[in-house]
Amino acid sequence: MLSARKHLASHSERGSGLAMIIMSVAAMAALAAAMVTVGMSSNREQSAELRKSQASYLCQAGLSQAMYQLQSGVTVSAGTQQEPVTWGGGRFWVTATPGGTDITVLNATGLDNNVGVSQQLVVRSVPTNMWTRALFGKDSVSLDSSVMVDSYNSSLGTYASQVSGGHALSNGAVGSNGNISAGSGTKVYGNATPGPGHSVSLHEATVSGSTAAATSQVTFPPINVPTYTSYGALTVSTNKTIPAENRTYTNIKVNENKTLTITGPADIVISNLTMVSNSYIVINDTNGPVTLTIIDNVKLDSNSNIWPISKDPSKLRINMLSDNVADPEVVVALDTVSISSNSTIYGVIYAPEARIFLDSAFVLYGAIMARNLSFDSNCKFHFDEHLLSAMASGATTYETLAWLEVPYVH
Amino acid sequence: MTLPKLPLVRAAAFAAVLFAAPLLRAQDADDAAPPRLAPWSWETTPSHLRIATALRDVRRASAADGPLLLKRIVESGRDAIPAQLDILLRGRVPETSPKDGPQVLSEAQRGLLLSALAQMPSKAVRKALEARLAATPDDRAAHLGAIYALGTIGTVADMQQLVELAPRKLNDEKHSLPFASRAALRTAIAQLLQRERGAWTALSDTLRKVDLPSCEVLLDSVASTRDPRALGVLFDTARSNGRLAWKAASLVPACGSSLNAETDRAYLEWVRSELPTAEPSYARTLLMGVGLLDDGEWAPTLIEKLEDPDSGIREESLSALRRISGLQLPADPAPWRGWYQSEEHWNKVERPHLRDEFACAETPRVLSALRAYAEHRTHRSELASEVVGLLEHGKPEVRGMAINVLERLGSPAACGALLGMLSDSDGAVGEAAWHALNTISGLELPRDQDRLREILGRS
Repeated sequence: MLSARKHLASHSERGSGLAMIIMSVAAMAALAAAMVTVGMSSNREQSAELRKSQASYLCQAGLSQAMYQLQSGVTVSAGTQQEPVTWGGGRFWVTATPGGTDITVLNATGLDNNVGVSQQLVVRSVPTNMWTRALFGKDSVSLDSSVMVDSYNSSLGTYASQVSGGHALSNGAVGSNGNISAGSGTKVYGNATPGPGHSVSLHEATVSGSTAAATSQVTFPPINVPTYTSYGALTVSTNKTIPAENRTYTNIKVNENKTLTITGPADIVISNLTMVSNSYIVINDTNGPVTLTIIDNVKLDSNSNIWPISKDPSKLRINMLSDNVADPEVVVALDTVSISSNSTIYGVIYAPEARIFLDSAFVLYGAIMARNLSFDSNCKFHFDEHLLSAMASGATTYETLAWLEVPYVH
Repeated sequence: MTLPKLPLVRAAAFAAVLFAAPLLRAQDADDAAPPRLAPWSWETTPSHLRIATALRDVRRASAADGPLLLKRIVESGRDAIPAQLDILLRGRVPETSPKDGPQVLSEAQRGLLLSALAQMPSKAVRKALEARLAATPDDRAAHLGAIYALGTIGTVADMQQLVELAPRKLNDEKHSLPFASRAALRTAIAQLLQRERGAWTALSDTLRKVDLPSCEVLLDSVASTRDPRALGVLFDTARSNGRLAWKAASLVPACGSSLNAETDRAYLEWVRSELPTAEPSYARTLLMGVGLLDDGEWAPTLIEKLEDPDSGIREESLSALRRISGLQLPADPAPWRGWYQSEEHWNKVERPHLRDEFACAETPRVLSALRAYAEHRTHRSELASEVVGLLEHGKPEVRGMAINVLERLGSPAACGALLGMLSDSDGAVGEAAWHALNTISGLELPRDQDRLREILGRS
């Protein structure tokens, strides 16, 4: 009986090992399936990530092509959604839309195996033109107290007609390859852009625009002094007119309450220019502009004025070779740029080696570029935005304002 | 009766003109403006002529001729010191022949003259200078020259005297310093700060003793040195003197980081305390330092300020965000919030895992984790502190990579550790550390380690 029970028991346990084995195999199969699934999912994720990266590169390729086209002066043509450009196994297209004055918004979309990425580049067109700022100092700019810098557009009327709320327009930019400092009461209606790695210091002063540093330095081209027939010295004791021709003078002195009229177009080279109080140099720019190139000293006494009849600053360029530091050719020592109170100039002043310090109520309508600019008490600079087009060389460059990824829309 | 007196009157008039001439010339310089162009009409000794010849040659010489010209002036000897000072204080160069025109002492000529004075016995120069100033105590133009001379040969004890020598604007209630005075004082103080031990401490004392216009010039000098110690002085001044707080804050962007994470952070905390009550222009000035010194903690505040009603504050916040992040995103707060959220996510979720990878035995995994650290711009002090641990790694490629990452992070918190790496057993690693210190400090650092430690304030 007992043996029969044992036999029955052993018979009933037969096959349990097999069941265990089957269950183990099933569990292992399930685990393997899960691992394969996880692996495949991971692969899918990695693959999607890879395709996203590829799509991002395609966007960048599209933006590069569009930027190249903009810089080359041709219309942006880099595929369309309907007819994308095929490149590197993927596709891209770029659209260019206006985003405001001088602003272009480039939207690029890249597709790789139906994974899409969109990127946006906002660029601003900058005409190739050295006269884009009210003030530029190669070494530094120091606006010590109560200096005002703003802008206006001479082609739209007088400065006074554009003033509202104490200033005219807000493109009166200040720039330097070095530091810029603005002291008590100074107001800059525009950007203050220091050189790469340099900074702006604002002490009781305001700047309406950006103070971000430039990414590259501005090069000052040298002044080439032309050689013309010499007319010796000229002292203006009664009102005089220089006809429209290129001339060289050793010295020009305009006496008190007298006017020297220079007829354009003309290039006039002068060794020394002296303007006594209340004197005028008037540019008759009806037929063309005038360039004055002053080799040594510039001395403007109080209330001396230089302007074109049209009051268009693009019609008068004043080059100053004064170096204030060292000049091997000049026997007379330190070249002087002396401008006394209440002098007014309409024009552009280019003095790449001069350190110009003014402590007076000097007013400039136009722009000034010099080695070093230091201004005090109540100097006013009104940048003429008309210079941006009037003095442009024709070529245009583009600067990047923003780059960002935007949602990809199917 | 009158006739016999005429020669006497003439003689008296001549004497009066003779002695009054320098005073009249001095009056030209009432506002301490640069001297006007006129022939040299004072006594001319052979020393004057020798020095003047060399100085006039400066205008024809190239930069390479500088040492030779300097030698010519120095070889005039100490007997020529009074002549050197005479030219310096008058600001004009004597004519050496009838063909010579009058010359105002140019910046390059003054530089040469000062270099020559620096090579003379300072006691002899000081004695001659004191005698020269005593002879014409009211000559304001001479005071300007004396400031330049003292900047060259002076000591920290002269700091106060330099301020007292600086001519003030006449008829000015605020006793402001004219441009020429500011330029001379700024140059002289900066020279002392760069040359004399203890000058930084003396400066702090002087700042407490002198008037407001002088303080402002002294602070300009501090910023012009671009020395890591400058931020500490500006910060102390800003905290202790409310009237100078704006001025001090305005100079922070020019002087840069203290290269001490604690000082930078303390300054930023002060900025945070000032902002709520600051008028918009002042707030903008304060924010200018944030972009330079912050390691990402300010990002939420700056993003918030992108919507400030004041355009200047919006501009400065955007500028600071771009500087901190290295991204050129637009002024719209939305993408900035996205960026900051992704940074926060990385710091909270991914960074702990990557930090664990630093201890991994497999070098590629360590390097991969390091690369990931280099891509982030918030909490840079913390990131740098974690990366610093790898500077003791056994493999030079890991140490080198860690240094590159520290350089990319740009946090001053790494400066101390990087200094220690200059003498690494692997030369390339030491070189990388030196480059990283240059990048982080923004300075051109010397190779000499003692000097380097002194500049970085870790001597």
